[in-house]
Amino acid sequence: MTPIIEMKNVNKRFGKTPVITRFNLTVQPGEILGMLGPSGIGKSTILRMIAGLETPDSGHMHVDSSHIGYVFQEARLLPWDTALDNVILPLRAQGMDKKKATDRARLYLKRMRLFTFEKAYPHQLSGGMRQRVALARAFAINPDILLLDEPFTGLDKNLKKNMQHLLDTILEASQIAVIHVTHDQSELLGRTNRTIHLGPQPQEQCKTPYQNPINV
Amino acid sequence: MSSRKTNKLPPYAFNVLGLVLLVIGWEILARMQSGLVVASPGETLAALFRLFENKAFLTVHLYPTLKRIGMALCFGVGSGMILGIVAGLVEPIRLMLAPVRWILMSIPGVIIVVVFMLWFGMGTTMVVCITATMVAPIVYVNTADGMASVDRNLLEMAKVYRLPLHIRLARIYAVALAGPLLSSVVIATGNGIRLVVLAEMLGANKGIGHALAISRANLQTDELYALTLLAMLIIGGVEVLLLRPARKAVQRRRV
Repeated sequence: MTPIIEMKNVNKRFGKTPVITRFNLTVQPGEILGMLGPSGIGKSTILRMIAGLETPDSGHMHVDSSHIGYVFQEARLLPWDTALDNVILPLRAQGMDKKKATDRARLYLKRMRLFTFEKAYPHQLSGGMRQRVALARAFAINPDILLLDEPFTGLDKNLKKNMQHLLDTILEASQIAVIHVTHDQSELLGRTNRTIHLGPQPQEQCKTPYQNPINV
Repeated sequence: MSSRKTNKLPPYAFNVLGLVLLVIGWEILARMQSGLVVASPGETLAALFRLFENKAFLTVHLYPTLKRIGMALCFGVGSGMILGIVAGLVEPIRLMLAPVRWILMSIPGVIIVVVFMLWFGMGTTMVVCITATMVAPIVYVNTADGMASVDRNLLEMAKVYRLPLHIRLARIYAVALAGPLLSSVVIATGNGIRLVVLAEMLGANKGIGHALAISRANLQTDELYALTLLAMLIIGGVEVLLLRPARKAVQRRRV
């Protein structure tokens, strides 16, 4: 099968500081990959390179995707738009007509249990709700790659559990390749096909400490 | 205790109080000085009503001034805004425009008036070009700075979700820019109207500025004050009728 993401000997530095060194990664369509590692190790930089927000300094990189969904650590919603409008926006950018985009946005807000909050502005929502809107936005575009950059950071235990459950429910029925970055191993247990651990040395990168058999 | 009492008064009460004190001071000054030097508030208002009753004044002086103000603000604000947006999006253009901005903002207005009189002769073209040239840098600086301060996180989100430029401009930049842009338009409007009157006074044969020059030459002090008051009323009118509602709309939009 042709990988949807392929990175070979990718290097990235910010100024004189090397962040990613000789990094290799292959992700297949539909694969759910966990990425663990301490803060500052370059996990987010890898996601940003995949999303096209950063370019590698050297190495080979290929992303075979037409739509990438990205849930950042913070929701990154337009503060002057309602939850519904925030979800509609990328759909309209894809050229979807207004009614279809609205219906689709409502569907995903409903899946995220936010249907009654569609008219709310981000400042009227809690942190968890805002992240759910960001998830709805990411899913609504029908992505082939979903990048999750510590999306549950700062949420309480129950809310985190609820959101993980919502995420699992949607991913169960999809063929989306997911990279879930976190520094909390418990967020990944039983949810990924494969988990890699990023360490400070190049040879430690891309180890697979355990395989998680999951139903996808 | 006294501060609690003043807090109960609506804000406009203090505006009115300030205005009343100003008029009282003006009246006292007018009584102390000759009518040729300071016209009283009553004389000024009477002269203003006479001007409004005079159809020739409305068509020969007021209308051309309003037309010039409108044209100059359209060109000045429009070009400043467009250049500011382009400079905000393309860093080399911002750097290239920096010397021009610096020259235009540091050169005394009267020099521009004199030079443009030589270039364009007397009349509307000269007045509009002077005002637009002086107004554009104010709007440009605020727009370019506003563009630079747009939330980078939102721009990254827009890039990931491949929002096209027109959507980014309309849904991210425009809303983020509206506040600083409106503030600059308020300043530009005040400056623009003053410049139109100044340019008309120095180099036009129509308009409020030209009428001011005639009044000064004929020592019609009451009319001179009335024309000054009229210029102030135009600035106030634009502020109240256009800019204040626009600012409220922006605040509502930004929540």
